[in-house]
Formats: sequence, structure tokens, C-alpha cells
Amino acid sequence: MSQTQVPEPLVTSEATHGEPLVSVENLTKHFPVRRGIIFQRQVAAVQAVQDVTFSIYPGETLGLVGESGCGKSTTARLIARLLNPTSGRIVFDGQDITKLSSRRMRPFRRDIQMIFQDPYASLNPRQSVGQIIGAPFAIHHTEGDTRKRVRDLMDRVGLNPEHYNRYPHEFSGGQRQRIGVARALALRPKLIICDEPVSALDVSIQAQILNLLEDLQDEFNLTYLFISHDLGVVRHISDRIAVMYLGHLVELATADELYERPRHPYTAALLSAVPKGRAGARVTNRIVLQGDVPSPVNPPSGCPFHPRCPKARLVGNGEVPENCRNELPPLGEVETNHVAACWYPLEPGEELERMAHA
Amino acid sequence: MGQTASDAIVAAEHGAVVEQEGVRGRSPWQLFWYRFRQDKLALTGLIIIVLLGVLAAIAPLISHGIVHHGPNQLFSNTMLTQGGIPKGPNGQFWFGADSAGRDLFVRVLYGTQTSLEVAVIATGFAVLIGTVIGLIAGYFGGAIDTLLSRTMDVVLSMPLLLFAIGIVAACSTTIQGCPIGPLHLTPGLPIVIFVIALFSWPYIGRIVRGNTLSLAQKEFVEAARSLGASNARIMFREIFPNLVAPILVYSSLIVPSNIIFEASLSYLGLGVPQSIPSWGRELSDASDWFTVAWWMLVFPGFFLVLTTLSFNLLGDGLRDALDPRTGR
Ligand SMILES: Nc1ncnc2c1ncn2[C@@H]1O[C@H](COP(=O)(O)OP(=O)(O)OP(=O)(O)O)[C@@H](O)[C@H]1O
Ligand SMILES: [Mg+2]
Repeated sequence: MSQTQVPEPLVTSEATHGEPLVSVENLTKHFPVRRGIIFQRQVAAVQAVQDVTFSIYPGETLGLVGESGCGKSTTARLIARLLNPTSGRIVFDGQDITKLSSRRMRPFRRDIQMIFQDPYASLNPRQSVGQIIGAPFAIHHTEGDTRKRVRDLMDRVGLNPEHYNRYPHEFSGGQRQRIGVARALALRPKLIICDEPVSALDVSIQAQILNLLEDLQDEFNLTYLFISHDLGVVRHISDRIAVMYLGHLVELATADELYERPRHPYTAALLSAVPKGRAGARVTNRIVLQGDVPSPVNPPSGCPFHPRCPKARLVGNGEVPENCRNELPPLGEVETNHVAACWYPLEPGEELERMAHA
Repeated sequence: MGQTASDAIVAAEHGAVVEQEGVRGRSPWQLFWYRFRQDKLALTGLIIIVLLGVLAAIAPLISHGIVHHGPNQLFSNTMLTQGGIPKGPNGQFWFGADSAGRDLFVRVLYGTQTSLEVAVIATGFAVLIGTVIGLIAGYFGGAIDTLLSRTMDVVLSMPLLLFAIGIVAACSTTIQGCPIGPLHLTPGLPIVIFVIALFSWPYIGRIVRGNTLSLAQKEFVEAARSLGASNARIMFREIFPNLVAPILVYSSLIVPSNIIFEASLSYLGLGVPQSIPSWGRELSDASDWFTVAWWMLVFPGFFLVLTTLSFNLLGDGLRDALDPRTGR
């Protein structure tokens, strides 16, 4: 499978230079499905992440999009080493961290931080804000005045330092997310993985948090892996965007390129759901995909998207072509700085909605 | 979504969106106290428990300073009839006398001490063991969980009175008692407390395990892990504070059953030694006499029921106040 992967770096933008901060190579995660009460045996596997390869460069924001259940969070948790990959490699700052023990992983934990989706569940309800934001210092036995540092952090993310002793439930959703941002920022990490950091928030609050994240990125030279299913948000914040479908990376390009010239039919379908003009989607009519996302326990053969793909049906005159059904398309360069995994990628400017009705 | 979010982004960039989020609410304990105060029954339970605790604590003061009777002092001449039948309540002996001619009021008063002491200490041990084992089982899961959970099931499925009688009887044959590992169980209070704790920790263990299981899935635990927190830190700093409420509720609910447990053992003559007054022993004493001496049954029985009822009311109130979802 690995020979189908294109060598890195392939897709670059103004924001990508130097050595990658993080590279994942052929990253795969299968969750075993077990049956039986005492003698559990594995009956199947959820193929949550399947042979994913990409890099994140210092200072950039890589967006990661895809429908619910396509493996975005799993990818994030693999990079943060909260899960162990089934196979593949994770290289951080030039060092292979794939198999580090939790003790050897500790120094890297300072450099890799996460911001979580749910600002309620991600803060311990029984700890005060001071304890929550101070935890990174306590865990890493940092010298110095923790209290002052926490107050400075609170101030920096737009919280009132006077609220040091308050509990999470006393704050609104947006403020809680600021607490989460402060905690992630505490140890001055290199990489912050934002797993849908604004999805749970009110629209007006979303923008404030996004602006905060952008400001912090400039100020502290942060690198973001930014996960979202909201394409408007992702386009706004990302330098490059990766699209996942059913555990596979299906397309990767710079943000503008991806939005203006999506080459994978799935990306085009996703973008067509974004109202016109706003996020710059050029496809006018929404492409209604047929059927549901297949189960990752029993993914389709060949291209994972083929059962729902409007383009494949068009190419095969109503029938899905042989290679779509049987062969996994490699992630190949369709243009400079643009890769897609499709046997029949769209031509730039190709109208998909007409094909969907063809 | 896409449209509105991007609209807001544009708006925010032009300074059109102002932060409209205020800080509100009170600390978790203030909220708890506010809800608890509304629950008159639970409040009554708490007040009665506090009063009983005070009574138990000042039992010697009352018995020596007010009624001037010791718990083991015999008044066979004044309080037993010629035929040896105990006499009923009067101005001197408020609850009458027991079969040996002792002051039943003083006996019951000291019985409060015994009951609360045994039940609270035994519950304390049960909570300690149950919490640690439940945390480990729920947090680590897998084979460790299977082993510990099955152990709890086994203990809970044992016919407890039968085993308790066996253990107490076996350990009470000599003054040395049973040395179990580092524990040296001597007959009397230590062995009773041990037996009660042994049979009640799995109740706490199960509750703690169940709660830990769901808490360990919470994002804040994942957040701590991503910061590099150790398992011990996650268990005791992140998860444990969230277990305080359920532990409090269930300990207040097992205290009354432990009081009954002690009373049952004492009733069977296996509990605390003769010289220590106990409601259970008074009740067993009464079983031969209550047809002619109703007070022997009524007073210890009333205190036993009052105490267990109060703890149950308190426990229910705590549960409602700490977890509004199950509440009214
Ligand atoms: N711990 C786990 N055990 C078993 N299956 C899991 C586990 N975590 C995730 N999965 C499965 O892996 C697949 C990918 O999940 P993941 O959470 O990565 O998706 P996602 O893209 O983040 O979705 P969402 O947008 O809903 O957050 C899903 O089918 C999910 O059910
Ligand atoms: Mg997710």
C-alpha cells in the first residue's frame, strides 16, 4: 500500500517551508470489535484511520475536514499519542514518537497540546479555573510562580484573572473554551491540535474564539491541526486543507485551491453543501449524495467513496467502473500542490451537479 | 452553519460582535446546600443525627451528672420485683430497668455510642477500601476490572449473616482472636467492625467503579492525559473529586444497614461484648420479657428505627441535592 503514497512534501503553500513539524506516514488505526462476556474474541475491526500520510509544517494551519465518523478525531488522538496506532509512523520534530513509552513521551507532551470540542466535558467540573490552567505546570513540575502565570494566561485569552477561583460551570461556553485554550497554551507548545474547537459554540462566539486562535498563532508561532466539519470555518483559518472520507485521506490542497478547484468528487459534494458565495464554493447546486456513509467496520472494496460517487456513475454510464469498485485509487498529484485519491478526478471547473442528474 | 459562521467571522473582524458572556452562578457546594435546605425531611434527618451524635458524645456526662447511674450499675433491689421482673419507667429510671436491673435509659444512651461508633468506623473502612478498589477497577478496566468486579460480586452474593456468624464465632474462641495478615482481630469491637466493613465495601466499590468507568471516558481525563499526567494523578486529582458526591450519598445509605448489622450480631450474642451496651443486645434481652416489660422493647427499638430512618432520609436528600437529574 505504501508505494501508492506520494513522497512528501508534495503540497505546499506560502506557509509551508522547512522541515515538517509533524509527519504521519501510513497511519492506520483499527479498533477491535469484541464479542463474548468472559472470553472475548475479536469479531471485526472498525477501520477508523486507514493508511493516512501527511505533514504539518511549522507555523501553518492544516485543516482536516470530513463527515462525522470519518476518523478525524482518531487521527488527532493518534498524533497526540492518546491512542496507539495499529501501524504507521508519527514523526514529531524529526523524532519518531510512534512507539515511545509514556515516560519517554512526557517531554513531547509539552510540545503537543489539544483543544477539545466540548467545552463542558473537557474541563473538570470539580476543579477551579486556577487548578485547570495550572495543571500543566504542576504535571511538568515547572519552576516559578504558577499563580502569576495562570493569571497572565487568563488575561491573554480574554478571561478576567480575578476569576481564578471560579468553577467551570460559572462560565459560558465561549469562556470555557478560552479556559481550554489557556490550558493548551500554558507550556508554550509547538503544535496545538484543535478538535472541532468551535463546533459546540454559538455562531457569534465561534468567531471570537477563532480570532483568538489566529492571534495566538501569530504571537507564539504556533502550528495548528484544525479539525472541523464546518467548511466555512476551516477555509477561514487554514493554509492547507486535508479531506478525509471513511478513514482515508482523499484530497489535500491549499485552502483556496481546494475550494476553487476541488478534484475529488467527495470534496466537491461537501463543498456544494456550503452556501454559494460565502465560502467560495463555485458549485451552484447542492450535490445530494446517495445513501449513507458506509460502516467503517465493513468498508466498500476499491475506492471507499464508489457506492455514493456521482462521477463514477457518470463515467460508467450509470454503472460504477471496474477500477473504482476493485482498486483503491492512490493519492496522486492532480496538479502542482494538489493531491487527490480518485481514478477520475474532476477537471477544474467541471460542474458536478449536472452529472449528479445525468 | 457555514454561512452563519463565516458571517460572524466577517462581523467579528469588523468589531461588530461584542462579547456578551457574563459570569453567573455559584460554587457547586453552595448550589448543593441551597437544594438540600429545601428538603425538609433530609434536614430533619440531619438534625436528628447530629442530636444523636451529641447525645452519644456526652453520654457519660448525662449518666453521671444527671441521672447518676452507670451503664453497668445494678439496681436489683429497687428496680426488680420479688419475682425478678424489671420495673417500668419512673422519675428516676426514665426508660425503666432491664432484666438485670440496670437503668435502661443509660443503656440506650450508651448504645447510641456503640451503634454510631461501630457503624461509622466500619463504614469508613468500607468507603476507603471500596473507593480504592472501585477506582482501580473502573480506571484500568480489562482483566483487573474483571477480577475485582467478580470479587465484589462474590462478596455480595455470600449469605452475610451466616458468614459473619462464622467469622465472629471462630475469632472469638480465644482472646488472641484471628491474626489476618497485619490485622490483629481481637474479639469484641475490632472483629465486629472488621466483619461489617468486609461485607459492605463492595457496595461502595460498585458505585465507585461505575462512576469511574464513565468519568474515565470524559474529555477532561483525556485532556489530563495529553498533558502527561500520571495514572495516579488522573485517578486521585481528576476523577476522585467527582466521586465525592456519590460516595457521600452511598455511605450515608450504608450507615443504617451497618447499624442494623451490628444490632443483628449483638442480638445473636456475637456482637460487642456483654459489658458494652448495644441496642441489639437490649432487644435480644427484651425478646424474653416484652410481654411483661414493654419498655425493654420499645425504647431500644425506637432509637434503632429513629437512627436508621434519619440516615436514610439524609442519604436520599443528599442524593437529590447532589444529583438534580434524579431529583424532584
Ligand atoms: N475508542 C473507540 N472504539 C471503537 N471505535 C471507535 C473508537 N473511537 C472511535 N471509533 C470509531 O472510529 C470511527 C472514527 O471516529 P472519529 O471519532 O475519529 O470520527 P470523527 O471524524 O472525529 O467524527 P466526528 O465528526 O463525529 O467527531 C467511528 O466509526 C467511531 O465509531
Ligand atoms: Mg470527532
